[in-house]
Amino acid sequence: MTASAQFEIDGELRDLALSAAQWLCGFYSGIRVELQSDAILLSAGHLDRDTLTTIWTAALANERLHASARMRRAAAFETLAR
Amino acid sequence: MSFLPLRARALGQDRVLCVADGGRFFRTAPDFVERLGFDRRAPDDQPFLIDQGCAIAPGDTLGEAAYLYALAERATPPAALDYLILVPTLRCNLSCSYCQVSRAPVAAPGFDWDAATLAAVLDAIDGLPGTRIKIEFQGGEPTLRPDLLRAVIDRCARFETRQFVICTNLQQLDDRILPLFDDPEVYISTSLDGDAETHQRNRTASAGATAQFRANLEAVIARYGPRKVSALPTVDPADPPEIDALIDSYVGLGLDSIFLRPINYQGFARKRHSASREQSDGWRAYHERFVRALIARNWADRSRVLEETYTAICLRRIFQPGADRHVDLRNPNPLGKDYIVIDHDGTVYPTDEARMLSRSGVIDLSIGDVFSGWETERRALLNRHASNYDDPACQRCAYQPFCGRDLVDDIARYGRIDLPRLETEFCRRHLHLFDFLFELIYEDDPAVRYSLSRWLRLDGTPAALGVTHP
Repeated sequence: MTASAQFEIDGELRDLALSAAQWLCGFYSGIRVELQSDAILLSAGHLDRDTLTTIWTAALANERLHASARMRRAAAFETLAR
Repeated sequence: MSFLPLRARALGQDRVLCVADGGRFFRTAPDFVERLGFDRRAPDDQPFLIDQGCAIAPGDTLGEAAYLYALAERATPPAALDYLILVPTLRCNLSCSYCQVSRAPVAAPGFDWDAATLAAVLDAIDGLPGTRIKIEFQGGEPTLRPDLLRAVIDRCARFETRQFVICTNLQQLDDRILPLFDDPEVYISTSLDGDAETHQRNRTASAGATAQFRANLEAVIARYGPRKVSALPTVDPADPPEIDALIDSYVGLGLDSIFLRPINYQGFARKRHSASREQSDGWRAYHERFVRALIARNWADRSRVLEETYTAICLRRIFQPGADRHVDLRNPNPLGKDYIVIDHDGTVYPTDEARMLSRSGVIDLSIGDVFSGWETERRALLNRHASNYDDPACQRCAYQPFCGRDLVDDIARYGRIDLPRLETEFCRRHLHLFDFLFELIYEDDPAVRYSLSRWLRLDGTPAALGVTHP
């Protein structure tokens, strides 16, 4: 049975949410991502609603963590490469 | 504001794994991850994060140094060339359907090192800078030329630490080969595809050849003990052997480590086993059942520890950076630097898979030859893409600290190295493996903890292998 979960996209975080949704498809197999005007709908035949919610929470937070850490992380790797 | 070098990955309902850039990790609830991601930390969140090495407060220079140290610990250190894969002959006395090396017939001329190539190989060995050497003899069937093996082994006498691995089908044991095997620094690697019927179907084609192989394998184990011999199965994912039968075929010989290899998309397998380009969910499920079968056996019989080799390597990648030097899973993955392959004609390749691709006519990945050297522009070009640091998918992946980069695998499967990472078999395979390992790490089962602890070479079994933050 297909489960689905819908998540509103806050105006300020819209770009972040769109990016998270795009990456989510690759990192978690078998999840369909549908973009609506102010929301993202996740659905999957092998996962329940609570798991989809956890995945969305993790994906969104991960995208935010990535955005915050990106420059400093890149600088650290650059230091290593030298 | 603190720097949070963390990535998050959902582990199922109500559980999220957080992994720091240096590889430390904890499991937590989605609420905590949400607080992390959007800077709404509770008062006791920060001390926990700092204690775990997952946050660096502003001005914390010691924390910054520790962060850089952890990153460095995870990175492949630059190393001198000390590992050679040598192919003294391409001739072979078998015709395995999935052969990845594009062999030549036993009687074919022109597929062995000639005198000039041998001399150049020995000169190259003389020029190696370090005090240790590991040499792996591949083929074809290298025992068809025991004289060449002996010449190389003797030339390595000056090294303080020596290890030689002869990769052989063990179809032939005689007075020319046994003296080589008798050397305590020589190890034997062979293929054992399971029970006699499976092995015969895949490799030996006749009952006589199968029986000969089996007798020879039992003879070398009886003569030297099981620690001198490693055997690897090559499994057809479309028709894998029954798990207990496969394990029994190894256990019965005293062999504890089983490297569960699906048919490699190389050589003859590209035509005869074209489905091997991508692994299926069925194969991944088989692999999980196999590992769980080993866990059950280890719990039932504590007198020995069975392991699936690659699973154990990935587990040690999580907890023990640098413990293994598995050249197919490391980051960066320098090509043609600390190990090279020298072919039957003296051509130098960065990996054995690169050699196979070239032999199959797919792409020439040679980086030089043993006569004129291999510090070439071709090698430099490959090494410009030899890490996962810059990949946008890897930058977001919780498993980046444990994972690697395999350009040659991408080229073999897709003919290119710029396919989006998440679409590659290398990525899918390792996402699955690390998901499975973290499932095991957090499983509240003493049998699982017991096996994981043994695979980590721990003296005891800790009460928990992973940290949880509620």
